[in-house]
Order: sequence, then structure tokens, then C-alpha cells
Amino acid sequence: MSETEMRSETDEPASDPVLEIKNATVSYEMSRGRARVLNDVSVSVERGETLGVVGESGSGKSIFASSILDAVEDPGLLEGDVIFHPENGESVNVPDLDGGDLRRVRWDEISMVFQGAMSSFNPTQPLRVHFEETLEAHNEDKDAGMERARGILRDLNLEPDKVLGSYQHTLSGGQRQRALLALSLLLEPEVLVLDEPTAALDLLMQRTILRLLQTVKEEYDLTMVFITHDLPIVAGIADRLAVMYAFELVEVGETREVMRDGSHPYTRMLLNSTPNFEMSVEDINPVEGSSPDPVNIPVGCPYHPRCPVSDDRCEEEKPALVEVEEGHQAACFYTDRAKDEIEVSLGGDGE
Amino acid sequence: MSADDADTAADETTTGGDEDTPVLELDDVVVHFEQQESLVQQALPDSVGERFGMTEPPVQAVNGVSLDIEEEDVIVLVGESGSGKSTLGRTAVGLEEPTEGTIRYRGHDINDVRRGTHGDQDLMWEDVRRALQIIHQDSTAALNPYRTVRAILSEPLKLWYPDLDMNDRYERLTAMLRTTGITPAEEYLDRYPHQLSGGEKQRVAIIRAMLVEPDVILADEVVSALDVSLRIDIMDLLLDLQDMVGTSYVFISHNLTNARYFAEKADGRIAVMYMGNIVEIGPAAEVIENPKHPYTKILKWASLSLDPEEIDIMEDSPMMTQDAPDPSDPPTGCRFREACPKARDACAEAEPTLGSKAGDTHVAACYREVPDHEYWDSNWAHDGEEHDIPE
Repeated sequence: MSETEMRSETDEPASDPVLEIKNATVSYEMSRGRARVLNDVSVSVERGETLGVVGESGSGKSIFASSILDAVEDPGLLEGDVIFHPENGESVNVPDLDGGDLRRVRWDEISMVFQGAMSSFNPTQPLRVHFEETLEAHNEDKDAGMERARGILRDLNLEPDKVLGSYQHTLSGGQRQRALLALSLLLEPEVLVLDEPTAALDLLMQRTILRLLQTVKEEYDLTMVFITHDLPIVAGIADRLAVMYAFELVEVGETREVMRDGSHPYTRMLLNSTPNFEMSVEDINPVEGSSPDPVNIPVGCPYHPRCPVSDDRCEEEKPALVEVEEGHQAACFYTDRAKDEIEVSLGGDGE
Repeated sequence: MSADDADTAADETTTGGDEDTPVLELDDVVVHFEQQESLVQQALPDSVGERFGMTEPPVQAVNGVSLDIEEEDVIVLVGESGSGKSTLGRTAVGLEEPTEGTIRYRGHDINDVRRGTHGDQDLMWEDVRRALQIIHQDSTAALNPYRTVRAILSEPLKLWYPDLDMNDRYERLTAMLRTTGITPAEEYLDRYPHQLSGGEKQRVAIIRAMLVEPDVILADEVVSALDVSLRIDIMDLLLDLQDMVGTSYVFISHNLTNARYFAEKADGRIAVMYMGNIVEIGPAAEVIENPKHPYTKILKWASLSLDPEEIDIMEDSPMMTQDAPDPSDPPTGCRFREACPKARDACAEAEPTLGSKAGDTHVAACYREVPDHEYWDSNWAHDGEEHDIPE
């Protein structure tokens, strides 16, 4: 494997990343100053895993998604590396690609489902046209491709011929979202990036879509990057979680560990601010204050103005994302204090 | 616009009605929408028009709901799209006219008040409009983008309290902004909606509704478009303002965890809606911890836990059908029976009602709540066997 030297030294020997994001930074020049909307983010996505990326609006999570596909909108500038290691073939650095090479990686290899399926289809054309045009644009055999499309639609509990002959507005929200998912799987990508794929759906449809995602992931050997502001949505589907705050990663680790034994104060407070049935209503509390403006990020730890365990050091020095346990990283000087002082009473076992 | 009349009446805190009369009484409210009158339908392409002929029966959005809303009450309507929760809410606050049934505001049928035929000249339609306010889901659409926060918030005060001068209005606005956590208030007053975050816009929309000191506020999915981490904040704000202003809420949500937080914290009730009916209603904690109706149990199952250990995402849905019935042609008997894992043949015969014995605060419209009903002796409706609802 010629890409060995591209891997970071800290990787486990068993690690087989399909994506390595290294020092990804996205900035915009604004009249009010230079806005960093993604700040030095490094994370690997293992082949076959589901990585959940969680953060509030304005935490940089959607920019992170766009960065993976080098699809940051102008005049945003992406710096850093996004190295894609295909199952077969040579590794590539996505930001270095252009033209046909970039198009081949986007959708063919790394596909994306955005939120708001309503606006993703052209309302004047039946869905069939979207599938056919996608195949044409990527020089795929149309008959074989449409046969594949029917299979995927069936896997998603849709009637292929009915859906392909429909216009988007005649479908329900759940049907539309599943059709969009089918379109994103049409070219048999290795990686699927999902940005709030269940937003605006009813409870039961949301649960159905999550189950279908898990099913197609296994069926089509996918790696998924699942972006959301709603922790419980990814809790059941993600192998690992990456928590974003103020355009950076503040905690990365196995889902169970992050949710039941989070190390960063923000992670713990985010859990406590999420409406749920497990905690008493008195234990559910908002995260006081608001997340920072990208042109005016606090010096030191960006979370310190809202953090109950911060001290002088946090106001001056910025904590790096470091390993707190094997395979679990957090960007905080006082992870022990956070666990002691910010109680998360899930399941009432006082863990 | 008779602002003078409105002012006189608005100054009296209550207009008629005694202590025991609920603020709002919904009595067997039915709302049907005629499909052929829909402009939307006329604008749709032929493929849709063919599917719904011109002779289609009306959509039965609300199917006979009775509900009392008391002073400083909180009632949360929970349901999926098409359950009729928004239509019921809008009808309750006078934004839709019921096809059948009545809505009484402090004892007065609001449709009579609207037409001026109610006979009590102390209560004008303007008073009802002031007393019943709405906060929408989409605060961006609800706030005029060309007006400053000051202009947006001054408008209801000018309309309902014309005696206030500019300084009085300014005092009220800044006090309200400070209470709701928008500081520095003076600075925010000169901003335009696009200069506010989603949470701040929703706060401004809430303040606008609160400034006229309404009796009932319909809060229609006010937190669902917000980040999860902001939802608690906004719900707490609504509850704090309830303490200050003494309003009642009809709070609509498709999310059961939000419903539980809001209703339980306010000591209010949750009403679960399915296809135009309230199928279960009761104190929040009871409905969540001890749901009676199979549909409520399924909604609880579908609500994802915050504890990853508790979630098995591959678990089969307990719903027996994936698609909801046609609201213009609902099933006979119980409207939920086609999807219900607990349905028996008897469910097809008559529609179950919210049975309530005296003193029952937690009731469900399901024959399983009636111990000696013929339901128990009839056959299982799906494959001749009972199906489970996972916890």
C-alpha cells in the first residue's frame, strides 16, 4: 500500500480509514473580518463505520460535510487534506482534484444526502429523469443502472415504478426522502454523507428511515457520516460520535462512551439539554449563553464563557484534542472535573 | 378598525363569565375541508387532479373534539402530520371556523361574537382576537423583514393600547426583552429580523404575542425548527412568561419528548391526536409513563432514547400498515385499527370514544379500556393473532 506514509502515526495497526480529514480549515473573507467556519479539524472515518457528527446550528457541522466533498461554496476557502482511500485503487486528496476526477469521486465514490428533500428534485420532471440524468452524467449504462435503481427503491420499501413515474410533490415527505436516498446510492458509492436526513419528518417515519439506513448500509457495504443537531437520532445508528462546537471538534469517541461518560463539558451539557424521557424534567437544562460568532471566537478554549468548570487557564490557553482513553479524544483541560461537576443522569445509574 | 372599543374592553381584565367557566370550551368540534374549493388543488397538475376527482368527499380534519381549557392551563396536542392537531388548534383560537360544534370564549360562542349576534355588547370580536393569540413555527416568515424589532413589537401595543405614548411603549418593550433574555435590549430594538439568530427571532415572535396579555396562546410547533439545545430554552421562556402574564397554552408538537417536557413542567395535559380525534388525554407524566392507547404506545416506542443502550434501531415497526388512511375516506369503526397491532374484529364496528367516568383524568378512546366490551371476545384482526408493541 503506497498510501501508508499518508496515515498519521497515532493510528492503530487495525485501522483502515476510508477517509482521513487532516487539518481541514474553511474561511471566508467578510467585511467584519476573516470568518473561520471550520477550524483545523482532523478526524478519520473507518471503512464500514457510521460516524455521527453532532453540533448546534452554526457549529460548522454542515461546512464539515461540504469539505468532505470539496463542495464548500464560494468564496469559502478550504485548506487541509481530505484523503480518500478507495477499497480498490489509489488514494486521492479530494481538494487536489478538479473537473472529471472530482466529479468521479463525488457521487460515484462519496455521495451526499442533504436536508430538505423538498428542494432536491426538479418539480417539473418525474423522478425517473433524475435517475437517468445521473447515470448519463457519470457515463453509466442506463438499463443496468435503472434496474439497480429499482432494486434500491424496493430495498427502501418503495414501489419502484410508481415512484419513478411520480413528480416530487405527489410523494409524502418520507417517500421523497427515501427516493433521494435511493438516488444517492445509485452509483454505488463507498461513503454516504447525510446532513440531517430525518429533519422535518414525523416520529414514525424518522424511525423507519433510520432502520432503512442501517439496512442499506449493511446491504451495500457503506461507510456513513451522519450529521445532526439531534443526539438521540444518531445514538442508535452511529458507531462513533464527533461533537462539534465553535467550528472545531471537541470530543470524538465510541457512541456509548461519549453519551454515557462524555469527557467534554459541552458534550455533557448538550445531553442534559436534550428533551428525553429518561431524565426528570428538573434535570433537563438548557446550555446557557449562545455559541460564538465565527469572526469573534473567544480566546483560549472557545467554550469557556459557557463552561461551569472553566478557570483562568481556559481563558488564555486553548486545549488540544487529545486522547483521554484509548480511541476517545476530548479538547478540555479538566475532563475529570467535568465528570464530577456536570452530572448526566441517564438511566439513573449515576455512572 | 375600532381601536377605541378594543381599548375599553381590553382594559377590563375579564369580560363576563364567572370563575368556573373555562377560558375556552370546545364542544364536539368538527372541521371538514372541501377538496374542490382548495386553491392549492386547482393549481396542481392534472396528474393530481385525476387522483382526486371533483366529487371527492371532504377531508375530515377534526372529527368531533371536546376540550376545556382553563385559566393558566397547558394542553399539548401531539400527533403526526395529518392528525388534525394544527387544524384543531387554529379552530380553537378562531382562525378556522368549525364545520360543526361550538367554541366558547368565557361562555360566548365565538362564531356568534364574530357575527355580532351574541347579544352581549360588552364583548367585541376584537377582544376575542386579542385574547387568543398564535405563535408560528416559522418565525422568519412571521416577522416582517423590512421592519425593525421595535416596529414589529410596537404594532400590537399601538393597536390594543393606544393610550400608551412612545416612552411607555419603549419601557414595556425593553422590560419584556430583558425578561426574555434578549440583552442588551436597546440594541436589539433597532435590529432587523435577518440580524437575529433563529432562537432570537422565535423570542421576538413570542414577545409580540405576549405583549397584548392574551388569555390563550396557540404555540404551533414553535420549537421543532430549532436546534435541540435551544428547545428547552424556548419552552422555559414560555413557561416563565405564563407565570408573568397568566396565559394558557395550546402547545402543538409532533415530538413526544418535547411534549412531555413542556406539559410535565407546567403540570399540564397531553392530548394525543390521530386522524382528527383525540385518542388519549391525561396528565403529562401519566400519559408518558403509562400510555393506554396503542397509538400512544407506538409513538413512545418511536421516540428515540438518549441512552444508546436502550435503542435497537433494527426493531420492526409495530405499525401494521405504513401508510395513513385517506382522510376523506377513513376506515369504519376505530380509525387506527388498520395500523393497530392490538386490533380485533370488533374495532371495525363502531368508533370508540374517550370514555370518562367521573374523576377520570386520564382516558383513551380504545375498547381495551372497557373490561366487558365485546372486543375481548372477537378475533384478532391481523393474521388472527396479537402483535407486540415494544417498550
